[in-house]
Amino acid sequence: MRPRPRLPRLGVAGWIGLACVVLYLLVATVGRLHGDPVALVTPGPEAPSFAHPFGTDHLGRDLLARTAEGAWTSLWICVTSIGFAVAVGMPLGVLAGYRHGGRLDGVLMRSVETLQALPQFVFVMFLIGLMGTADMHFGPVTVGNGPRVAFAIGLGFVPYFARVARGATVVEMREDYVTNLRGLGVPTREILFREVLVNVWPPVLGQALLAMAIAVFAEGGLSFLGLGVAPPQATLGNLIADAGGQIIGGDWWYATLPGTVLVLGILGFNLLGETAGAGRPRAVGTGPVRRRAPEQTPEEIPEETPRQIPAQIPTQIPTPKETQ
Amino acid sequence: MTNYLVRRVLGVVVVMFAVVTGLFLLLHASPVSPVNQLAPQVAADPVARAAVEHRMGLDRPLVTQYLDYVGDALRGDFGTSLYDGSPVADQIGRALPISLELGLLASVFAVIPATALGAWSVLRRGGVVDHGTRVLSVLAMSLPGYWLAVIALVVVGDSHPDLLPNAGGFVTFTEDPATNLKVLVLPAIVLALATFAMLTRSLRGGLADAMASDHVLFARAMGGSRLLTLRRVALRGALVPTLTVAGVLIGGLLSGTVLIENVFQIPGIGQLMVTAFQRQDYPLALGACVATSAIFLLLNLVVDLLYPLVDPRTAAGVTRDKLGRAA
Amino acid sequence: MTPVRTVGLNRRGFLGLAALAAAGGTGVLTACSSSSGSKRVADRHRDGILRIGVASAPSSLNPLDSGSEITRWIAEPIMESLYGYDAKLASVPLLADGEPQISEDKLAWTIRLRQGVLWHDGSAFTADDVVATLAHMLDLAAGSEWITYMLGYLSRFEKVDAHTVRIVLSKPYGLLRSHLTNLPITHRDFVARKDTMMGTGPYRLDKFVAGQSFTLSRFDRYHGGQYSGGAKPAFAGMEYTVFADANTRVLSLRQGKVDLITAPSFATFDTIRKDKSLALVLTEAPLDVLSYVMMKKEPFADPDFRKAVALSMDRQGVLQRVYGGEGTIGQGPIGPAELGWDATLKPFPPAPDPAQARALLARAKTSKRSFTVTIGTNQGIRDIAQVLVAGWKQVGLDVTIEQLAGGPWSNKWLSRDYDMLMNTFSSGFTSGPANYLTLAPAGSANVLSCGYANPEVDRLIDTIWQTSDHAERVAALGRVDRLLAEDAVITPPVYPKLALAQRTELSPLDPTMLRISRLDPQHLRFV
Repeated sequence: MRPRPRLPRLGVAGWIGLACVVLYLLVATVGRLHGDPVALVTPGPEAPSFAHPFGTDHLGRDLLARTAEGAWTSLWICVTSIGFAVAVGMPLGVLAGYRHGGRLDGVLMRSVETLQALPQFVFVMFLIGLMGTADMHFGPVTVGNGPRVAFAIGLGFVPYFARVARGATVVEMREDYVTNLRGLGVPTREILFREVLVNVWPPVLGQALLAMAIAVFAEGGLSFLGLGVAPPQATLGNLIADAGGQIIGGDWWYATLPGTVLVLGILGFNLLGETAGAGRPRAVGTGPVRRRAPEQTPEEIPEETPRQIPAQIPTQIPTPKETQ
Repeated sequence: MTNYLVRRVLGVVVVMFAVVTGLFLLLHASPVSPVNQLAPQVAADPVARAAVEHRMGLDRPLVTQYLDYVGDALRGDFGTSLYDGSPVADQIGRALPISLELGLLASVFAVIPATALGAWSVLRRGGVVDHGTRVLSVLAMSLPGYWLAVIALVVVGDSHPDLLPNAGGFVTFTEDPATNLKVLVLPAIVLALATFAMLTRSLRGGLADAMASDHVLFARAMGGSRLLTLRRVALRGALVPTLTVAGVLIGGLLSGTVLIENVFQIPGIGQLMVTAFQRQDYPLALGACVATSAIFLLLNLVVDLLYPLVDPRTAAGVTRDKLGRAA
Repeated sequence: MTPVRTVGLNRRGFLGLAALAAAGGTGVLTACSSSSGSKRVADRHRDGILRIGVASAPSSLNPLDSGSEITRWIAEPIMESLYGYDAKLASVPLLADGEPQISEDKLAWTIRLRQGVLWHDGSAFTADDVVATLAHMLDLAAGSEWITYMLGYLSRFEKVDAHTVRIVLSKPYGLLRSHLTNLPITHRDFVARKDTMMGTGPYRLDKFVAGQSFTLSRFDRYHGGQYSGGAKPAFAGMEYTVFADANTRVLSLRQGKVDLITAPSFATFDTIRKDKSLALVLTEAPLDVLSYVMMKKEPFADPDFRKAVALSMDRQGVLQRVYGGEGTIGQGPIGPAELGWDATLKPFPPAPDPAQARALLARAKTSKRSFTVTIGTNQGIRDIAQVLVAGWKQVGLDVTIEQLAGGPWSNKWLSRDYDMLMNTFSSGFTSGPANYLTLAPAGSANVLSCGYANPEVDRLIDTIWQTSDHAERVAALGRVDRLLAEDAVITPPVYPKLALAQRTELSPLDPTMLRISRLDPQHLRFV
């Protein structure tokens, strides 16, 4: 029978990752219920206390509420951006992989390559710089900076997912079942969407989690530079940037606590992404971490070594940590 | 071999052109126009506005402006900054070496520990170091540089004042190497973290696989110690996957400099780009992006050219792309 | 087969090496650093160079075009104007030789120029330079803010002879004296250049690295006009360095790398006060928080809405949270360091009055309860806006903050396409101890008009600009201030104090000069 994708088994790393993400979501939800991120509650910055578990910021606003708002904003921007990237990149990649070696493949991949001529974060910054940070008005619709940041980050990831999808599709196309189905007269479209796509999803999903980690980082970086969402709306990057001016006054909580929440998010998605990626057969090397390496002792030689080595050498699929 | 070389170089040139064109068009289509930089009194008066537009060359057809820009760029003239009128090429020329120096330092800080730790974890598989390295590398990948930089800046700033930028402006390497290096140490370490993490894992994975391969087993069977076989045989094999991720690492370093330079106030190309975008200074932003793109593509080209040296299969005409297909 | 001995580092060895490297590295670094800030300062002062840390780089090095703080501060030791301010802030001749001769019909001013003055390049200062400077101000394409003062009043400039200039006016213009006391004169060949400064002052601009540092050196052939009783400039040179990050700026001061910094952030005030080798300088100065509302469209066309917004501004909050209490509660456009200040004018309470505001909103004809406030991109105005937004939320007003960089912000002002516009601005550089430019949008015919049409205000503004009688001007300013405050046309939340920090090894900054936003570094010395 054709291989069915297995649900990833979570190792220790995976559980830690899940815990981090859950903690991140917890802060985001509980904090929002805690108070108003805009209201001025204390006359100045105050250390963490029972009333204000994260303390207050330089204008006297509750930091937990602001961190929570920031965590939520960062989260939805990143989910939207990765969703957009997958929605655009995956079909492109599958199409290119299906037409592997042909002109369409070449054209698609070359154009995707051009998008990667700038390092990813620089590219995203460039797009934001183009669009400006002020609200844009298209008739009755006002587009704030949040959706534009999501769009820019998403666009930066499209080449990435296109390649992952293409690589996975190429491998799938070589499988026996595809030739068999073709021989049976099943139309190509059905082969693609019914059978191939199902097997292409898992690597894409694994990469999506890793990409989430980068997206959270990138969104934080943009806000840090002041190119992200406008005040008084908080994002984690905003808070870190504002905190930069406060540490010298001795207000340690301002810089460390929102930053820790940010790290939780990135770390969680990183660990989850690795575990998800590690839980299935690596026909295409989609990451630097080799599932085989830690589990194997040097004496154990995988039988497929002669065939696997050429395929295991990673293609130009970029591994996640392109930014930072 | 030369065929490969020529094809790659040509590829880079084509992409550069595409990048320049794309950037140029996008900047001109952008809702933030250079005309916004005019003083209110000028913008209010249509005659004066037209005069300034004519002086800036903004009233010519787009194609003419583009060709002029490309022509000038090929001669090294990237126009003048809208903000303070200084030549863009001068600013880039001053900023680029600083960023390259920072990147180089960061690479050194990343490669050395990565090789050491990667090799060590492979040698002592499953030991404390192995697990510790895994934890360390994931953590290093997850700590945002801008946050670490803010913390490091103040923690260190009070106790070691010489690690921060000096009055009198940033001192370049040619002026005073000692001071220059002192100031760049901290930013380089922060910048190196993520690269270090990725390199460690890549090397570790590559080394582990290489150690598991036939020829290593053979070497061990012939009596070679683990360390010797590691050095002589496995390292070579591990270089291939590492070179592949090198492109990504370079991109990461370049991107990272933008944020790190901003926090540490280092006047490199990343800082230049950020301020250009914040001020909507068109020519400078475009010039800086083109320069960054060129560096990025060039470095990737160098990596591509190193491939045949490391992996003879490439010399036979198999590119990095096609390696996935060969079976 | 004999096993080959493993060679290389074992775990202990590696850790030991790493620890040694870390310790050694830190040790080397510590050994290289100075023992204390004061020692560093003493070492540094041997070269006689004053070092100033500033917050941003100037966009244009042409002080005729750019009114930005930093451009003017760098220009202070370099450029001079026809008249200067003395210790009592009266206008006295500097590059001019005596008082101007005003014709009977008040439409022609004849000014004799000082002889024997040299430019930094060695050429002589003549009437050609003055005429060229004035003409440049009137040039629309140059984009100088001075044009607002020139348009409609100045008709032409004439060179009478090598050392006499005549300015011909279309209307009597008493305020011209103030302009001539603030307008820097530059060499005729340098009027349009943005990349350098050519002046007649005691210091010359030697070199600069764009965006980073500006180096000045003493000009030995200075005519001595700014120094009385044989005094001479104390420093061999000056260096302005840009530290965009407020933290780094204060740290540099504490470590003794600079002698003076501008714009220390309020969060660092305590740290500065605790350090005995530093002095925090806070002065009332013509620092304005520009606040304009567009009265030609909803919702600010409705006076009840306007007054409700003004009443629900959290002035106290801004003063405490953003400026740490250093400043005065804002009422009308004129602040304590500006001519026409009336301390008894208090139409607005320090804390917002939500009840009264809600009553006004209920009465208002407009039903809009939301608007956008467009601000600049510096941290100060951003914090002010956030505090105000929180206050407005209390009365049910939903306010969006829009940040624009300098150019686009000015354009928005001009396009009249805003609801509310706010930014910080230093008026002292063009107006001395007053803020005439800030009042301009209240005039109905002004190019920057905010839509307010009050004939009495128009008349008063004309008086302010045209009269030569100082007392009359001050009275008119006071009256305009009252009208604009009570009508809620221009109601800034605070009048912030000018904040600077210096080392005690530098002589104290002159408080009188600070009241007109001048650092006056050419009169300081090391102590």
